Amino acid sequence: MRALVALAWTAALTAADAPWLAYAYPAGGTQGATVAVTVAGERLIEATGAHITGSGVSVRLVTTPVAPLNAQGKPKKRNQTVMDEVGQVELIIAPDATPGPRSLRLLTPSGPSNPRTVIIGNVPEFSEEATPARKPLTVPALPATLNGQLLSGDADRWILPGKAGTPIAIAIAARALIPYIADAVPGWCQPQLTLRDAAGRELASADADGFRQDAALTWTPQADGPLTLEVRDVLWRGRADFTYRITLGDPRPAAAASPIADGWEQVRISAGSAWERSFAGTAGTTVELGVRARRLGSPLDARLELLGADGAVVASADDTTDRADGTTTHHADPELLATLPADGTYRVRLSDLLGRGGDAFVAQVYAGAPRPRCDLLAAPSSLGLPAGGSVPLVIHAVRRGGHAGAIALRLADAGDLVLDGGLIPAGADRVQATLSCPATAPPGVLAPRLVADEGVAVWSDDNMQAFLWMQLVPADAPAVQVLPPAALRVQPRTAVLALVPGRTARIEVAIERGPGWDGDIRIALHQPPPGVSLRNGRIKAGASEGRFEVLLAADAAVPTGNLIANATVSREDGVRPDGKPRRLQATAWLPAIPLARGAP
Amino acid sequence: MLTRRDLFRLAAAGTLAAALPPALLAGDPPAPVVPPRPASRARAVIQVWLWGGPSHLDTFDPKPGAGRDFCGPLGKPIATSVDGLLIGQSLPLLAQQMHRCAVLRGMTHGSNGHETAAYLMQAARPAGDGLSWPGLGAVVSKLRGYEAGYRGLLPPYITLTTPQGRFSESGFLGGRHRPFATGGDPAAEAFAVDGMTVQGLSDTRQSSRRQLLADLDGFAAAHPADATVRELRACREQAYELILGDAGAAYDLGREDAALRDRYGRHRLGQSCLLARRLVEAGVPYVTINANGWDTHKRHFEAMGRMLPQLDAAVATLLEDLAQRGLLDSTIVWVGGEFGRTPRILWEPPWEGGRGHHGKAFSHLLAGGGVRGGTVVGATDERGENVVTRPVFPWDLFATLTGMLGLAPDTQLPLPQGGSVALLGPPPAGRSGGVLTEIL
Repeated sequence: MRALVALAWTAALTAADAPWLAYAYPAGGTQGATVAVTVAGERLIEATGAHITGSGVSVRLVTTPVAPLNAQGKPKKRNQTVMDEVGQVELIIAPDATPGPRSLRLLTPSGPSNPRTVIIGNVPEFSEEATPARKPLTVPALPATLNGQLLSGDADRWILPGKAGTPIAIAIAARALIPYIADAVPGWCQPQLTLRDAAGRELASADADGFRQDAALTWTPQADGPLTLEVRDVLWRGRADFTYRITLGDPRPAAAASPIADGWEQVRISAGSAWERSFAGTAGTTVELGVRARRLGSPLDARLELLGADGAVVASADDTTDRADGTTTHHADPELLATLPADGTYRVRLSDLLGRGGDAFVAQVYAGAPRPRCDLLAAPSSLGLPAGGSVPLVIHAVRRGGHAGAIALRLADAGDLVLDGGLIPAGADRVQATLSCPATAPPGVLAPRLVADEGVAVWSDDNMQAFLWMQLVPADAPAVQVLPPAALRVQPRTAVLALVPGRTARIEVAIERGPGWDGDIRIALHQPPPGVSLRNGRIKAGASEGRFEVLLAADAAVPTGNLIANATVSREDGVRPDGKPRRLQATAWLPAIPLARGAP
Repeated sequence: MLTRRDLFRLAAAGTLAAALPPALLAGDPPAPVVPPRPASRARAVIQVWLWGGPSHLDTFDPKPGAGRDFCGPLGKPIATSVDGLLIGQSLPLLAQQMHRCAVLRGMTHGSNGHETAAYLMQAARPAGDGLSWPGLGAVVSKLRGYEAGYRGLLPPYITLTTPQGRFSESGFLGGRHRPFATGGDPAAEAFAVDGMTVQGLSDTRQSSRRQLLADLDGFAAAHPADATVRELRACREQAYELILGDAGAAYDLGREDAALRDRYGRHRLGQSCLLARRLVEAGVPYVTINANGWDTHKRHFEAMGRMLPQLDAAVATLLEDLAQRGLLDSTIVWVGGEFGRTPRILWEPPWEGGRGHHGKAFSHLLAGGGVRGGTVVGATDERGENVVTRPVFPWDLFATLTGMLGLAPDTQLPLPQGGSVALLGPPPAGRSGGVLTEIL
């Protein structure tokens, strides 16, 4: 057995311990280039490497992030940003690397950081130095990609070559790089593009592009001559993670219309009118009605109604939240299930809530028998897993069409990884589970898939938007970093925990400790279900086995899902500069323990 | 004929049932009939407004059993002078004053926006009904101020030291009932009230200037009996009385015992509480202390490490000081903010152990003015996320406070466009747990 290493760090216990990558700048590069990318965040100073998804691009850690120092050489007093630790990685992009987004992460002893998007391009790229007073940078020829960073009060200016009669399409990716910022309103960088002629006259300006916050504009110069492109945040905000990429080039053909799924039909809403479809229905039949419009970029703010033969509204829906669509901020597409009250003719009516309409107001509509289905999402997409240990994750089920059954998940392309508690109970919209791996698992980064009969889970990250809303943002691939074995390993001997209201239930555990980690072990429950609390969560020093108990409150319902717990042990390790003993802490997650109803 | 007291009692008892929707009548327990109470004792209010929303778990509604993700490092609440009542571990001095206090743990309104929640809590109305309702301070200014016979030179509604900024305190009552903001910092070596003192100008020199003005005022000397001259002289005398006399002396914290100033705490909140006591002592009916900094989204516990001890010393000493001076019985002390803070700690960046806004459940503290100390009203669940017993809505608190001040709910407040509205309408449907009879 590989020796358990006494580590000062363990796999990230909570998000407070997880390494955080705030931004990467420039956020990409072109084929064939080697790009120095500044990375900044928090809890990155022990980074050991970097990881990027997809083929054709490799990354190496050039400078480990360090906290900034003051003039006396001491760490600067921390301010309220989480971007104090700054380092550098190098992207090595193959000449034939496929253009498009990739996920960049830093790897640390406690696991990988969250992903940050970098984009591989196929045209020359130019990057500004992020100093507000810099002179405008001249772009010699188009097409090109520009990389910039908006600091406080900053407005970047670029000089572009204008040729009479040749249109230039300008599109910025800012929110595409960092979809949500937790502590800003709006909760993202919202860039404004302004194009001026050589005399400074404004020629065109663009802000949000419909419901897409990243702006775009196309301009055809009337004469040869330089054009100035100004980029700033609409509110003149600026911060180091306001990074952007601008593509400049020929206008592209309009994107092909979204494919129409089987059973759906595409409609267009005219101003002041509604689309209707009649059908004959039987009492007691359940019908499913759904609209996809906003999720396809349509401005339609759909209202969906099911009308009876007498014109009365049997059911209606306006905005239906879709947790599987984490980048749309106004969930305007309605869905509903309705049971017909009587035999007769029914009408489905779709209209715009504000009575608008036009060519752009397209929608795909489904009206028919319910088709139970489910979108699965797993979070977080970055996990640090000690060999021989476990790490928790949450698997979300976005059920549609009356889907209600239990969902059994399994791993694929996962090497030696094991999924514990991978059953989403019937009717539940999420489950906490764990990934585990044997103590012999080699270090490295895996990209497992979570699959079920209902489909493949999309790996995502829960992002806070503007202080309040939580959005699940898909990552293009997960990164499960297998770490060296932790100093503590706690394995439950209880396969299923049977709970009875008003009674405690015992979990027996086996314990493996690294040298020197002989202290008391403290058990803690992680987000226990309502009514479940810990009892007797301390295991005495030196024990190689132990137990703890959980109590289900007498008035609580027996929960479904899994119990997630962790164990912590600490030891002294020398003396701090202030003379107090330095304490190190080792924490281990237990594999998820499924819950069940016990016999009274 | 119904007396004003009868009308208030009936309103509190919910016997205006015809105005109440069936849902409230059917689904909520009937408001208890209010037994006859002694005449209202409260003559003043000291409102300690914890601007930004204080964490209820870390102050008056601790949840030690909820674990680290809810308690953070403040998971060991302490016993108080009330058997069975625990409060946050960072409030040991206040713990010894809880026999004087009523803890309202069932506060709720559901709004997480600063502006809306502040308006709800202070005006007890939801925003958007077509009127900008005044806060309680402006109401007291209207009904207990100059128009009601208040003769003090100090304004009847004073804010220490800056106005709210998030809503209009005076609402439709207009500028006359805006609070007078002192500006300055009571904890500064020389506390200067805006508009009343000139930096570097001593009282002696000020008096000399006054004498010089009188000597030069030949017109007044020639026409001493003229009504206008007499009125001008009276105004001038009042102004000087405010600056140099006993009225203005209320602002002079240097007259206080140094040891007492230390007990309040030599910081803005502490000295503001001391100043509020002096102002109430001087007859001011409403003082608001706007205490900044409670909107702790980020590194909440670092901020609490600084701010909770300040709150503890300031409010505990205020209660003790008022009691010893015989003022507590006539002074309502009201402590709280616009909402609470999310019980589940946000450990991840950028919050780094922060708490967000939480309007679903939070706590306020009341003392004095007839409040029955040692009471707890309402309860939240094991994590402090939801009120499970006896919700206390803004209307309930406002109705209780106005009642304690002897303000009849049917008192008419004039509208600037003509007409008037009653001070307190019927309880809003589904958003009232009733007047806080438990603490009266």
